[in-house]
Amino acid sequence: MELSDRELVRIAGSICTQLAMLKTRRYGRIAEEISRVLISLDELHSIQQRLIICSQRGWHAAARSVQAQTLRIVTHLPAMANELKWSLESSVAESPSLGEVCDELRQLDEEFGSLRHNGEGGFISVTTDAIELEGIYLGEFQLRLNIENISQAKLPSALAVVAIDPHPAASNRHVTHPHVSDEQLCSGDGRTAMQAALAGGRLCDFFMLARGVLENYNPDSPFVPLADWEGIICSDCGYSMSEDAVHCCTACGRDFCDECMSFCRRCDESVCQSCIEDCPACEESCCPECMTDCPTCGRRVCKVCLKENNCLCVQEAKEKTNEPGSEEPAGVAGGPGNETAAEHAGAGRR
Amino acid sequence: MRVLFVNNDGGGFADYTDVAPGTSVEKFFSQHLPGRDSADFLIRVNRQPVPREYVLQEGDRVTMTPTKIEGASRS
Repeated sequence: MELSDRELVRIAGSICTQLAMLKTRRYGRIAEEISRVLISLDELHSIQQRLIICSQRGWHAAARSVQAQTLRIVTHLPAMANELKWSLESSVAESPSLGEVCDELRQLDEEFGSLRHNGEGGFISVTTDAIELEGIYLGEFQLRLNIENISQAKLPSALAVVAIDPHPAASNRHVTHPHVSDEQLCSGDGRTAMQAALAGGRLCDFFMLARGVLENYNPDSPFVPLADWEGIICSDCGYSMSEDAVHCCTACGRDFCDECMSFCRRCDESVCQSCIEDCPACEESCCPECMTDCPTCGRRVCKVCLKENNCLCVQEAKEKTNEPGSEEPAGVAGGPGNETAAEHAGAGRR
Repeated sequence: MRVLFVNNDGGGFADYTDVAPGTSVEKFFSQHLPGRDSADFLIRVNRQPVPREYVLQEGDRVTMTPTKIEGASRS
């Protein structure tokens, strides 16, 4: 073990303090749960009085309404009672002694062979073996228990699952395991047992249960199914596809699926829908290579329209010229002393 | 005689339980987790791995932890 006996005792002391705080919080929670049960019982008592009156006076419609209220309360009572029962049972367990927590830490080191303490981060950690599920390699995971969050007895805040050499899902880089997202383990069926183990100071059981979740795959409820783990993701819609179904945009170089891909009507190159531009003159979809700025009006038009002198500014100028009494705008129409948009572009190139 | 049984299956609990003298770990497992396969559990006695035929002693701490737990995608 890397930890000295002195360090081990110091960590165990911090954990014992947290467990004592947790126990104090549990008493408060039990009092709240008792209050909830008592409120329901008071409501039932009130309903009983109203039912007696309804019965004596023959108010059947009112009695039916009161019965519906009764049903609502008695439906929720068992769940409230069970919650209270669980809280009572879990708080009865004796808090472990300092020596027992030290034994837990030693066992943890024996089971995983890698117990570490990070003083700055305030956590203890162990590392799993490399995990592979259904032929997909996910690598090793470091399980970090934040000591200061033990008293919260909430798994998401207490346990972080960190991929050491991440092999995340192609569709979501935050999902490093089908049941881990943003370093949070969704323990599913193991949740209650893990909370019980943590509250009881059974640290080794807690970590072994977490490992049990990581070494298994539940295809019914993953963040990302293993079937979609690998592959290439469409940059637009996020669809996961095989390599041979990928289209690469010649403009931005990103990968897209068939649905999100388009093509340039001028050069036939594959272009994504973000890169494609519509020429305002011919209204065709073109790639950035086939588009250019009109040197006269600055509009983005396709090179063909510019070459054929079809930019909107030329059309607009012609329309103005044809209007009775209008003056010829400078630098637009093809009159003496003026260049067309295409000639201007050509002169620029020369 | 009594042993401390830590069952991490399901809800997870720890409590003392009576066992007949001469009860092996394998028998104890089948009594307390009937229908389950011991291969799917990590079984420890006094924090150490033991063979199936190990005979439980007064005051032993027996831990059974499932190794196949179904995770989910929501806490």
